[in-house]
Amino acid sequence: MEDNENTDFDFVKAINRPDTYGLLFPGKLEGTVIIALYERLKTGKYQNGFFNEEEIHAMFSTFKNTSIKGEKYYPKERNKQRIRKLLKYFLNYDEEKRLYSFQDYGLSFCKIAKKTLKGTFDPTEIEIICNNLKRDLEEAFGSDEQLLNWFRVNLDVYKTRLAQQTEFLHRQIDFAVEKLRKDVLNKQIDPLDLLRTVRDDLTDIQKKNGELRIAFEDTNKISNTLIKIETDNGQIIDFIEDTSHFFSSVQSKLRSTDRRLDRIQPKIKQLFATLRRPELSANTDAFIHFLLKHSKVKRKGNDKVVELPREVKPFLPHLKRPKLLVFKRNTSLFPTASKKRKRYPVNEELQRKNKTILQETIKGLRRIDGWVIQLLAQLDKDGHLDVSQSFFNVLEADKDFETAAHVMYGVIEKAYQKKKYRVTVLSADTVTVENSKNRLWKTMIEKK
Amino acid sequence: MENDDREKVGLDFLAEDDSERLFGDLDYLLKDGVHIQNFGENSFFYDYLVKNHSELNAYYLRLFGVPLRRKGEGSHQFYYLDYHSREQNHIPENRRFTLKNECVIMGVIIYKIIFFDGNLELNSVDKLKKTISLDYEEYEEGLLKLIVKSDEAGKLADDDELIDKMVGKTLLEFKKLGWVDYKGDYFETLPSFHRLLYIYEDVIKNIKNILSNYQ
Repeated sequence: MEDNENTDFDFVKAINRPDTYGLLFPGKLEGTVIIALYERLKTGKYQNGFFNEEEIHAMFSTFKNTSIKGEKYYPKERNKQRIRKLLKYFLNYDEEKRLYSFQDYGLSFCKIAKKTLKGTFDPTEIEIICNNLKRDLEEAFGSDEQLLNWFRVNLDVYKTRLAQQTEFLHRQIDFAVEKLRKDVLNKQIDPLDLLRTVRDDLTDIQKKNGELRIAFEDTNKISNTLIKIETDNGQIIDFIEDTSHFFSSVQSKLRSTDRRLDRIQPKIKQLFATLRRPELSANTDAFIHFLLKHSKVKRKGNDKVVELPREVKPFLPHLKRPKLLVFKRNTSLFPTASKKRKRYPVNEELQRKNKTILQETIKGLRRIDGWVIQLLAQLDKDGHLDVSQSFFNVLEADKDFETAAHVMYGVIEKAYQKKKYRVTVLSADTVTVENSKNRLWKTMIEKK
Repeated sequence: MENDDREKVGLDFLAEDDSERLFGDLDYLLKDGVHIQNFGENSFFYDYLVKNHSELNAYYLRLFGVPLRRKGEGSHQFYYLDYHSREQNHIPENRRFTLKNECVIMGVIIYKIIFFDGNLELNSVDKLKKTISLDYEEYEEGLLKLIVKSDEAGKLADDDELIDKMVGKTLLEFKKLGWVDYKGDYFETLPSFHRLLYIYEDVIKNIKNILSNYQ
């Protein structure tokens, strides 16, 4: 384990020794040349991994323009000096063959840089690692010493690799989303192409995440096995805790990648709709500026309210609902105060008078009812009734306008309440009779 | 007889079981301006709307004079009662519920930030507030005038807070309309958030001509 390394070595002090840092971490030009050589090496261009000095100079020549300004001609001597420096950690010079090859440090340097940038994705590898870890753990089960070995050796070697894979996908989303944001602002790129690429990238990430999740399935089994370990060894207990925490963070990262994708993807689809019309984007921006510039703040009572420009109608999402207030009187809190009963003396004269008026009114109402029943019977029989004409008939018979009006309304109301009749009022057509001062809209009731 | 009448106005769907279960609550939501989409607990209403849209539209149009609109495509469809588009003159002032104009302005800005400027993963309200105040300086003067309601030059911390509050208020109002999911520092736009642009589509399309009248 890293922590158990020989602590006598002072890494910081060592790297600050003269001619160390600069040689381990070369400048941009030298670094680019080394990486270009590495890439060529990986494609199998160099037989047995050897290449000549010309090749190195060619690389320096290729990258000089982009890296060092002001060098108008090829500075061979300067580059030879640069190559000499690279011989310390990056390259080997074989005097017999007069050829160059990579040192281990050079290879590792390029490998790590490439892996970090590109991000290698290999669920199969993860699956194998997890599977092996599970098997080794099962074998170590029961022996404290072997368990400690498992934690220190087997697991620790792969921990970074496991975490790297999940991190990688998370970073891929960051790249895709950031790229989208930058490219959206760069109006020259065809938005459709852009969205298609990003959507495809995200779909790919989702697929990879799915594969990765399957690959990590064994970590659940490992966690379950770890829980079953019964030991008093403090070190092992600490390791179990750390490892469970590690696996659960890996799993949670996988879940969060899925959630992130679930959230982003519908928006990508929505973006399609808006970005298909770049003019809409420009116009919306102009619209915002228009609103901000031409809306006015007006005083309304004690409040200041914003009024939009006349072309922009305030948004009316719905109508106000009538507010229903419910008053509830809690009788236990507000008992009704008892009141003294008041007695009223009876005025017999008034009582008699009222009785007469009431009887008259009832008589009148009965009369109206009688007419209504009679007219409805007529309507039922004939299938139609001219209500306006009936009004004049009643008026003629009873000589009472009020009765006639009540009869008319009564008939219309009763007929309207029954589905089988249709009431028609023709406002354009009026009805009257001879010597009458009244004129009515022609009102008809018919059976449907 | 009753059945005959019902057929005439196309209300047969009201007699179905799911109407009995859903229509009452849905009716309240729609009349409160809520936009229904396939999200959260409104998913049941969404399915019901997909099934009965034409009948429900006829119902609201005939009895309330308001169309029940469907917008968006595929799984991003959403439904709402379109009170806004109909002639508003005959609606008495005291019955109109209009969204605060400040919220409309803030809403269009949020829309632009997310959809036109591609801030797809902007789900933090704090981050949204910071984005508006730091990355969109071009709107600062207008926001100071309309939200802080100040004509003074220069922005103070208190002004920023007022603008932040308006962002929160806007999200809250939009949540009521079903346009966003909003809780604590988290917010997420829903398909119906696009309604905002539909509302002002005609003005946006015609903005160049309108602006030329102001010069």
